[in-house]
Amino acid sequence: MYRKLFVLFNFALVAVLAYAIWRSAHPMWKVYQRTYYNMAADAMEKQAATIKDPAAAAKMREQAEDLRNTPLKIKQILTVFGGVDRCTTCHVAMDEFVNPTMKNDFTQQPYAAHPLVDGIDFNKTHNFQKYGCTVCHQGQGMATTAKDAHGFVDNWQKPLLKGKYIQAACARCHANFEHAKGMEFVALGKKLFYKHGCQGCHAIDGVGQTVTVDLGDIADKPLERIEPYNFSLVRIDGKALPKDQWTLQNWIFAHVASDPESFVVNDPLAKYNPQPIAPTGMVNWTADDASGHRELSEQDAAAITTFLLSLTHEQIPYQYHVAGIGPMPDPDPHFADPVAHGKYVFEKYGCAACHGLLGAKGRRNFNALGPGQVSLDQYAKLSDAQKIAEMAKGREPTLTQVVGTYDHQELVNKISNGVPEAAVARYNPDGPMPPLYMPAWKKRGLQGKELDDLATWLLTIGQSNQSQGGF
Amino acid sequence: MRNYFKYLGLALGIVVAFGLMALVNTVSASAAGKSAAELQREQALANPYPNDLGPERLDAATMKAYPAKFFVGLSAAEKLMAKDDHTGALPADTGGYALMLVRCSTCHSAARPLNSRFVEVPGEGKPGTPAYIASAADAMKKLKAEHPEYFAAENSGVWQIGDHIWSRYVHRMMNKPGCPVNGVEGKKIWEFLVYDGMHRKVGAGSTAWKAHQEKLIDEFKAKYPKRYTVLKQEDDL
Repeated sequence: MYRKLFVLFNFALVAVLAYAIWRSAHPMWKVYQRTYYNMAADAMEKQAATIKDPAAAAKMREQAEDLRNTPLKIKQILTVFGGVDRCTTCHVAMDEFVNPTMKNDFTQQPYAAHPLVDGIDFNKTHNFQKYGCTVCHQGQGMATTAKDAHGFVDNWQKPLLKGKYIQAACARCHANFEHAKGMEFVALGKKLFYKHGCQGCHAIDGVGQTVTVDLGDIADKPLERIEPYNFSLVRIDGKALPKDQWTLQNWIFAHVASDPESFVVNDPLAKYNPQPIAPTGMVNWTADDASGHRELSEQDAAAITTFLLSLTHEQIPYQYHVAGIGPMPDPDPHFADPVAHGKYVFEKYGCAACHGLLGAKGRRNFNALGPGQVSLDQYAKLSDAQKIAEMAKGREPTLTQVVGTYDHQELVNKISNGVPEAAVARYNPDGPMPPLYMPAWKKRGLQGKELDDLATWLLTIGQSNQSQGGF
Repeated sequence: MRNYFKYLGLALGIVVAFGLMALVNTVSASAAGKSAAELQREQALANPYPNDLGPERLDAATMKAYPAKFFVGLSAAEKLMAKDDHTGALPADTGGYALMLVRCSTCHSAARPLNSRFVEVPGEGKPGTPAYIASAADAMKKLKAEHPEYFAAENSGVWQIGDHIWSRYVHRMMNKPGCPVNGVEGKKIWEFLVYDGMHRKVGAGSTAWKAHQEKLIDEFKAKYPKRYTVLKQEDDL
């Protein structure tokens, strides 16, 4: 009996070994490569049939036959950035030694040639044999299976960028991206980033405010620093993300295209920590602005994500760096009118981050005081979820409502001195410290004429005090 | 025997340590149990101004000289104050002084507005109308011409005179989340503060007011030297 079992196991072992050898000898890249050669040969033969010169047609058929019999091999490009890209092993049409015209009529991947994007032939501007693929598309260049190569696997930080997100890679080298053709989407992302006041809380390489993290190297953020629990709470279009989509791109996108408080929940009721911790202080960009419209659409969120994915500290060899302004704001334009200048200053320093576009709607500030909060006696009787909802009603001031109660000098003083973290009054005294506060702007470079003109502009947007009480 | 004492000492030490911990917890728990308004008040006290050191009520002689309408409902207001209730209902005809005492002390003591250096020069007619604004500006000019000392830099801690200063401040406080003052009450409080400023701080009472304010500033300087320096630097004394 044991002998029979031993023999049986031996056969099974040999069978497994044989399967492993067979599988290793027949990887998918070989199937793709052979299919491509056959498709290209078929197309060539079809073309040969239309040629009237029999000699030329015969030669073309001969070439097609050669193509059909091309030996299969791993192809790789040693890029000028030091990478090794084997993408052309499957994407054979991008190999200029096989497909010198770099064009074909195939539409299906991995057989299609590289498309023109906005009329630009990328092989001419970024020769693939020199630049490789991953410098623009990201992914895992060394891998030889589709899943690994596209990088949607564990421990690969930079999976494939698709569609307009690829423009993030453009902006890493092309610091002039705001004025370059084909980079309009990433340029839009930068414009929206500054218009909506993101720099009011986030600096980029030290330029901007330090209320929260500097985003100068956000594209390099290791995924290990994002809690799987938080990722599991992310919903895009109402759906949870499969684990292979727990990417930095989706993490950033979710922050702008959904309410970040829903997945960076932290511990506001101190269930797991000795002290309560407020959820993220980040704005809910899906909420309506003062005019009743969703402040940032999904397309806007994608553009901002693209811009943020361009922010890396990876070293680009200087000879491939195209000079320009880069991720920083443009130099200040000149304004003759102090009111117009003040409005510009409001946007420049990201005041909209807390006070809304043009100061028209104060943002959420968890556990700060806000309109509509129930009394603390009532609060004590609420469920945990209701308590969190009450604390989430905390608001930053809506400037259009309050600036009319200041005069010019008072505004200047207020902005200069700010409201420190500890001075922001809490709705629930046992709750967490509200995440947003007003920096002392005199220490952050906002002074002199900029400050003066900002106060001048603010006084033009304030509602009349008459609307409250008629005095 | 010596060992017994050692262990007894150790046990006592542990008991004392636990006792201290419990005490600290009780103190912090009582601090944590405070309402938002109480914390706001604490915050106001932690950032004091010279006016906070002054009296929290008008004296009897002043009250007698002022129109009675400001003091309607004062006893009801005092009852609420005694219960530390700043949001409770008051009769519709409650006067500005009574309202000021109850509502303003939600976040700070009534001494802050009563001893404030703010003086608002009122206009004539309906507040907020162009005629009112123009007449208030004219009255300001007149006051400045007649009493330049009110506007002198060396007296900036005694008088700060503007044509809308109380209107702005009352509205600012009304806009703070949780402020119990509505538009109707705010107007009455404003009317009282404007009247009080014009009758107690300038004119016949100006000399006494100046002495009172200077005394408060001196006391403040002695009591809160650091805060005094900060406010002096910020030109906010």
